[in-house]
Amino acid sequence: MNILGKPIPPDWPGGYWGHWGFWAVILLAFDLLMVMAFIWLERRWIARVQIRLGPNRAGPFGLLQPIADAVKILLKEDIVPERADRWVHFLAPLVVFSAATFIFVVIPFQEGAGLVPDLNVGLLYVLAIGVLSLIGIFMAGWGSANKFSLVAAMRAVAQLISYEIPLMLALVAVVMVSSSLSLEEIVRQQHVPFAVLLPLSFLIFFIGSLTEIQRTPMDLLEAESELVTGYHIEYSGMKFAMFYLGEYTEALLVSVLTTVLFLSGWKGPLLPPFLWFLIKVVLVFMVIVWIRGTFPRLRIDQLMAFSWKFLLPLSILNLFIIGAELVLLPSFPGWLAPVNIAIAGLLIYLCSRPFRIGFGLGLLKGLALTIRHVLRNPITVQYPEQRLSISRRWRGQEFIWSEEKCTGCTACARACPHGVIKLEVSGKGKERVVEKFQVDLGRCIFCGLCVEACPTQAIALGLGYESSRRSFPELVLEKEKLTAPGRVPSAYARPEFEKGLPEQTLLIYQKEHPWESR
Amino acid sequence: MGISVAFWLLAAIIVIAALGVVLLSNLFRAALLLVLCFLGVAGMYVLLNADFLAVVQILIYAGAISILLIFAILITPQVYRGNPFGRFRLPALFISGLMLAAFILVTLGTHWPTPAAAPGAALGGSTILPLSPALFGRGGALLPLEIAAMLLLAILVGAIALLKEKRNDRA
Repeated sequence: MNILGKPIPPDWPGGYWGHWGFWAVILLAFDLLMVMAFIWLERRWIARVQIRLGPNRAGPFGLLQPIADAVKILLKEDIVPERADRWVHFLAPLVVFSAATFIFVVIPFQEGAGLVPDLNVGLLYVLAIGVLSLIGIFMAGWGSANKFSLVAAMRAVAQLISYEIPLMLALVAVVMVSSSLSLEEIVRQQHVPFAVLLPLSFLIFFIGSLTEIQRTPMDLLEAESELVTGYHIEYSGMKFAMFYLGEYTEALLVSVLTTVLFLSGWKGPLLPPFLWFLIKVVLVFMVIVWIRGTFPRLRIDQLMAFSWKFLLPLSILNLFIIGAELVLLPSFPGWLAPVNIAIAGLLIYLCSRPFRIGFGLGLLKGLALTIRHVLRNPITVQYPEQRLSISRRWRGQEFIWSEEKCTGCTACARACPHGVIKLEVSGKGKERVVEKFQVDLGRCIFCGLCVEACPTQAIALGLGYESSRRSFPELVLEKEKLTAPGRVPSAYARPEFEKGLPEQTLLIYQKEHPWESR
Repeated sequence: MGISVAFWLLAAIIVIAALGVVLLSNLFRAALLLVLCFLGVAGMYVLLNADFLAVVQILIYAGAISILLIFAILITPQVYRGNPFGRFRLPALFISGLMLAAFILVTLGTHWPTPAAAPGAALGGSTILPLSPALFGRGGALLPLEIAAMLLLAILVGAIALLKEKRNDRA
């Protein structure tokens, strides 16, 4: 028997303690592994949404990137501000992380699988524990003894509390229809996913929870440009890693809760239930990242106005309508879904009229645009493997010298305003030999006067641009380097070269990337 | 066995946290310990099979009320100076001593009936389903509930009215 008077299914040989121990390990492993996967997925997926490639160097497809990130963060110095409240500063990331992690206790992964999936007050538990992360944010803001982190913490409270109200009202509709607070029972009740049956509740819950976890359209708390990353500015090393972990755990949590509450959890045809659950969680997270890749950050007053003037009346109206429907049709059949979608559209239309923002259609347009980016080829240049061809209008940054054409007249050396070119010539008349031709790139300003001065077109500027060297002496180019083959002279002061050069800067593929070509 | 271990652990946490709330001069830490105290009380409710009460305790006290409290502390001027003693030291001691005595007397004098079975089992496995008839049904506590809701609404409207007046002054 567990503490709530319900027998625990004997799914593990150890019985009661075995069940708790087993699921505690499973939940932690699920949390950590999914967070790693999400960090990778977010960076790759948001890159595709923004026509980029994302990290692809560490391991195949960049799969080891989260590990590299973690190692980098852990090796950093742990800095505590001098006037900080040490204990509070130390405990804050732990509170944020554990508040998010404890919620997984009530998540049903499939029928009867979970630590306490059938908890009598499951949904209330989720909301209650979720609020505790606010205290962690407050501890971080206060304990850092930094005004920016304090302002961010204050904002956090204003933002999170005002979005808590429409969020809870949206969930009340779910509870009313499923007549249970147990997450497992809510999934069982979803013959039609609640996302379709209660579309307005779904939208309000999704927006509200995105705000609760401070994802990008609503990430005012960590606004780099004004609050210098907000409440965790004074955190580094392991403690920052805990915050990072906590944030992604919360993102995972929102994906999981959306799956369980609105997308009928583990239910689905053909595939095993656990797999369906995972697929839905990952898809929801991809939508979250897609939204992040599309919209810019809101202002705090816009955010507040959106919650209090739009979401709150909308959620109360929604609650009334769902209640009326339940009174008329207590069984709440599936054919109400199109009716509710129509009602949701009408309500959103009516409630967004006073805002004169085009009823949110611009948001949909933006989302459509960014999802089309996924189908395009990324414009990322994989630098050492791929380069840009240089436009014919570029003067060039390397020297090409031809020993045959050079007469040793020293016109170039005399034209140079910086004394970059050094010449040594022996012999006279037709037997003149250029003993030494030296260009010091460290002093060169690439003005091209030497090219203009040369009567025999022996010296030219080239299109190469990788002129960095490891030491100053290497910047002095001798004969061999100046005559090295395989370089393209630019058209500067040599109009006859112009036709052979590319018209504009373009991407050229020098060799295929070992892991991917796109 | 396990239940009593949990009980004494929670009791120790509650008492130590409560002492910390009263004795610490750092107001912010005191508020955090108050949260810990609330959580311990929620744990006690869980031990008593009152799961709904436990969750509501966390939601309202550890969540909302303590956040409000911390907010109040943060906007208090000179909070860095800690919690100095006021002029009402002796009257406060007297009144709190009186309160303590009254609480002890009442607690010891009351007969506390305890049911033999866990309440969840008695109510068919759910501690929340019987709540709704008790709150919204005939003969339930609907009127007090509505009065509380009206009170909260009045507070909300009052807060908005106060803010609005200020904005007009500035403009």
